[in-house]
Amino acid sequence: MTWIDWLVVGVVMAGLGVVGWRVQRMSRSVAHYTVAGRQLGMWLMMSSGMAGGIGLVSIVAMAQTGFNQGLSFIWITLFSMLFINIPLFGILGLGVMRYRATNVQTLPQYYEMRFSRSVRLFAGITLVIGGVLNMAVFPIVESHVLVAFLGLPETFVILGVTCKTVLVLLFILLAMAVYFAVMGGMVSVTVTEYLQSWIMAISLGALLYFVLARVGVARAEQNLVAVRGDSAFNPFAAGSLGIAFVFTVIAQNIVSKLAFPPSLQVTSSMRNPRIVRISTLLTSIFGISAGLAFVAFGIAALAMFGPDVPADPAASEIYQRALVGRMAAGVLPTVFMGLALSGFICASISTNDAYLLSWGSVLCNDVICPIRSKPYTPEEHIRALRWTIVGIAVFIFFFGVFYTPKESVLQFFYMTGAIFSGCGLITWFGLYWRRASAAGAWAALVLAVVLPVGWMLFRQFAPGAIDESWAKENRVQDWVTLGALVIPALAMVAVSLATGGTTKFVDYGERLREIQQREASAKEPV
Amino acid sequence: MTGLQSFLFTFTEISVVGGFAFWFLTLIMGIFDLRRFLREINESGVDAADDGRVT
Repeated sequence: MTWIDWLVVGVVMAGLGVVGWRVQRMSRSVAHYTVAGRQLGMWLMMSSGMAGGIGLVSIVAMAQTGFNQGLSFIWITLFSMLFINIPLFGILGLGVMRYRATNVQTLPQYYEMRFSRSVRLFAGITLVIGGVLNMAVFPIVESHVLVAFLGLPETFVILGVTCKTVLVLLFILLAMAVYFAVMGGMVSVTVTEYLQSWIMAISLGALLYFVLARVGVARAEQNLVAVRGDSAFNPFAAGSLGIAFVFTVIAQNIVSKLAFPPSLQVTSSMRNPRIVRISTLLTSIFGISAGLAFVAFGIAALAMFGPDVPADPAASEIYQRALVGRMAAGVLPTVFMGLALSGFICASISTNDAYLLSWGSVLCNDVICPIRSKPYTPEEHIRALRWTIVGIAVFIFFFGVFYTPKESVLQFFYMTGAIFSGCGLITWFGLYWRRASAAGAWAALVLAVVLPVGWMLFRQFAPGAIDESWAKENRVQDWVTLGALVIPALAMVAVSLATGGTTKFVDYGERLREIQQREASAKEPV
Repeated sequence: MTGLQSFLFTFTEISVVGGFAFWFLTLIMGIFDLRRFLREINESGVDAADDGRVT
């Protein structure tokens, strides 16, 4: 990094900071703060959504998949795109349009409307636990990438105190994300994400060009075939993803569509259900393919550094997570180094601020507010949202300090994601099944939490109790994750049928038709 | 290299180029949407009752 590179980074960050500060005054109500006044248009949503969806951690996760499993992941992507995302969500608008028609700010708010206040409260707690654990690994992984990219030492001494570089970077990344999330909520996040999306598109595009120019597309491809063999192309081959992982990804793809508050908060922020459907269709077709670029980073890294990794599992994970950073540092010229660092930081902030806002909104609106006897005034409510976000960030910092990697980043995502997949199940049942009851929702939520949380605690606190190589070979973790989806779904059906009675079902299909008729007469643009 | 492997590599290459092209398209079209969003947010009223509570 030369002074020109640091100048590039400084200008980009200062510009974003000023924009974030200036748009904060536009957030004048709770609805502005949490769902941007429901004024998001299609193109703005997609462009800022690209930045929000592509975190530095997801670049690392996809690159790690490309490094270890080559292109075998593509089959899942293709299957999901052709048979789930495009027909179900993009063309039919299944689930997502009805969800937008509910007009809720957060997912658990719908649970109170459909089931009961206690389901809202429990689901809120579940979502926050799963979601915060899910994102807690983001900043620490991203810090490792930046350390590798900048070639920083493991520790440094300042005023006689020895500091771990990765923890200092962890603090800086979190502080920047908190700044944008706290400033103006969804309005600030949307506007700054849009600008960050420009920086990311240019810098990641340039990085891909320089990486492939250095390695050579043909060489990277031939190397992948030679080193990984069939497992790089066949997800069911030995050493590849495994059948349990494949089914888990497909099932979570469907369930998480109505379980993941950061995405649903964007859905709630859009102008109307029709825009939700069209943007879902377009991002289903094109959004996934940008992710393949990051798989290509991993394949290129395999050609540059070879397949050897450290023998110790934790050291191996850290090594693999740092590959993108090391590779970028090795190929980029001056100015592009600064641009890439800006892109990496933007990728980190854009995801972390949106997630902090989302989990903060759920914690404040769906856990704290329902148990308060006296409702907040709008000013108090926004202040409470801000402090909740800060509190989550503090937790994530300490998680990063003590966390030791036991699995790949992608496996960690799916495992923690399974904790709140129970919420996706009850949303689907709630929107489409008249007989889905509050008791059924309770059963599904409890079971969806018990399995993955129990497994995760067992792995962290009893490391010697299970043969690690046996667990890895038999994909135990993937089967646990899959079980955490299937068993709660069966429980929801069984308990709802057993308890019976009337429910608070609203046919949002009917409401959608009314909205569409109204829009057709008003000719509202996308 | 087998036919299947060649197909996967070609699919990835086309997807990556298409994905980046689409990304830039959304950014360019997003300029107009951003202007409209800022204008409408500024002009929109404040609904104090829309605070996430179910009443």
